Amino acid sequence: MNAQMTNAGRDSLTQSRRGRHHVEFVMGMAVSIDIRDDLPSDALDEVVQWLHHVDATYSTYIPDSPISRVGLGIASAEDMTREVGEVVALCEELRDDTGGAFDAFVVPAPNGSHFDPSGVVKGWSIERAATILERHGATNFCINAGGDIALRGHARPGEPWLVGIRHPDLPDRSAAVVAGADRLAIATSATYERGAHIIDPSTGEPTADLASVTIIGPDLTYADAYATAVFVMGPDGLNWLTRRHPDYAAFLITRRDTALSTSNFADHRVS
Amino acid sequence: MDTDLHSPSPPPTPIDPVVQARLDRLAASRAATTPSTTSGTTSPNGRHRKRHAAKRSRAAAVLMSLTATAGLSAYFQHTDSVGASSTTNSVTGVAVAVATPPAAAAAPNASPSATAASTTPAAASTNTTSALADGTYAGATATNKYGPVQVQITVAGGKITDVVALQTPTGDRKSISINDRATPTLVSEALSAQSANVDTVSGATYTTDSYKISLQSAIDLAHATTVQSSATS
Amino acid sequence: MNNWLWYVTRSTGIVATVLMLASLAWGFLFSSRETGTRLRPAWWLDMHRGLGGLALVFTAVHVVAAFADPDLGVDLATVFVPGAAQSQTTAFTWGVVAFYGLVVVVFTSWPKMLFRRRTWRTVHLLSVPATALACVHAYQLGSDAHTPAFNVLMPLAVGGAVYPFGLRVWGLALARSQEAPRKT
Repeated sequence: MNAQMTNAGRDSLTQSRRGRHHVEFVMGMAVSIDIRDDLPSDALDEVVQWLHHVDATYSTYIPDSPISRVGLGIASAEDMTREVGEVVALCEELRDDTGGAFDAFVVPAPNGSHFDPSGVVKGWSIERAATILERHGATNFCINAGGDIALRGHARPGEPWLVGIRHPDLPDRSAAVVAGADRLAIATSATYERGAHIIDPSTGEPTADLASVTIIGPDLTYADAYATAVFVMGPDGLNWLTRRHPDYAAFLITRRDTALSTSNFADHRVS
Repeated sequence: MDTDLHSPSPPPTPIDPVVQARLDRLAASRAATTPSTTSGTTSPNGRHRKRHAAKRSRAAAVLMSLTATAGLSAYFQHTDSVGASSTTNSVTGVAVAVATPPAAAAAPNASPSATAASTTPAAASTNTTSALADGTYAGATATNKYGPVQVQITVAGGKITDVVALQTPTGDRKSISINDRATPTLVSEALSAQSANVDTVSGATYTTDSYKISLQSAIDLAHATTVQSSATS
Repeated sequence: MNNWLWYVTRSTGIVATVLMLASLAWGFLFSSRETGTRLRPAWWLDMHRGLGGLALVFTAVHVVAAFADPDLGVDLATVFVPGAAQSQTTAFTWGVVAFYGLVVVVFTSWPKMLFRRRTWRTVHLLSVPATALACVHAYQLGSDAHTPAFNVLMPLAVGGAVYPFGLRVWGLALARSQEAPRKT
């Protein structure tokens, strides 16, 4: 099942379908853009360009990126664009909303600073990418950035997008399948990759009590951040989410092969 | 009125000297403890003062009860709320409390041929047809933050057909509402969904290596019109 | 955050229970032969009544808050009908019965002269089982019943009420044993 990107395999399967299916390796991950409408190619180009712009601006792995300079307190006036300000404001909003469970201002970043907005930037940039496609007239598409998904419209006429939620232990299996149409975001936080990489801001220690947390809701910017926050909060996070953000659903998989979910998760789940 | 029997209001008959002595001592002690009433000592029968004392004690009780209520509410809010800004402690508490997640059903343990099912429970269920004998299995009871949880599964035809939470936390009304929202289910049960023909997969796939082994990469491989490996080879 | 109703439910429940116990303790200290014959200032009795009345007020707030919190699933039947609760039935029943007991005791203590002393005393002694039931209700249903603070506070409060109760019972028994030989 190793992905050998052979031309033969690609060509034989794509001729019968409309639209475009593109994979871009950017921001250290694979971003799959699956457009089911016929679009002028500059739509996709603009999205790809946008993603590379985000990578260059917000990468905490690049010590000289504008966001690194902001975090290290050496930002110039041109680093602090309106867009960067928007990201910083989002980080503040989410820190307050989650009571510090999601806090971009305490977790050590690779650039040596203590400001790492990556958890916000990913979802936010994919939502923006979706907006770019919509502006070009796309109505049916799905962007999957390292497992975080923003989808629009339908997969096929009259059929919703079917989204598998990866099983924590089996990379090629789904623990649940949800259906989404029109506008939906699905974000998953997990520790099955890179070890325990989710840091509890209050302790500075990695949390690994849950295997994965999936959040479903209208906006990937928030779904992504809520997934991280609920991961830190543990099962209590279900209560927090239901009270504060009833339009978002959560699906938790614990380390003991049990799943917990908010009741509205059933509205999305198909199997 | 019962008061007549016990209150030191002046009776019509002359006061018994012992009682009078006690009255005086009472008045003296009150005057000593509460200076505000000393001005009223001119009243020999003390009725005026006693009214005040009653009022004051009642007010004190009301005040103490209200303070206790407010204090407790504030304390509960402090320990409970995740939304407040200074809740780092409670978040820590949550992280610790989660160390004992809800119980999983002990399907592999209960099964006589459990050894056939491999180490991960999920893998066990992929072999359900051979590993699980038909029947009902109750899992071990585990206690999570909300109380004891026990899950029971029903196996029919080698497949898990039903998952029931036998025991959900009952000690706390609030936890009932939490568990109404979140009754534990078995993930293995849902593995049957693996056959579903999904369009995309949600999961933490942050590295190229993990992407290569993911279901998403297979989907992409099947459909992708263009693959651009600009960052990694 | 709309959790405040829940916090109010919890805190008023605890305060009402403590007030009931305090009122009971006060009442027994007041009537016990060991302690009750001493001359009391008027506010002593007043305090006993005040505590009982306060207990009723806080219980009422507790019930209203529990009813008003949509998350607790407490409906009118649960509040007023013993045994009507859909879950935690026994625990709720104790609470409802204790509440009725408290209502009866408080509202008969005021027009006391309307009753024969014996009748009144029997009715008034309902406060003992009512308080006991309230404690059981608190222990079974309370969100904080298993916290260390509760485990220290409640035995202390219960002990504070049981001690004068014991004194009173002992005093009565003593009086009866002294009377008994005289009768025979």
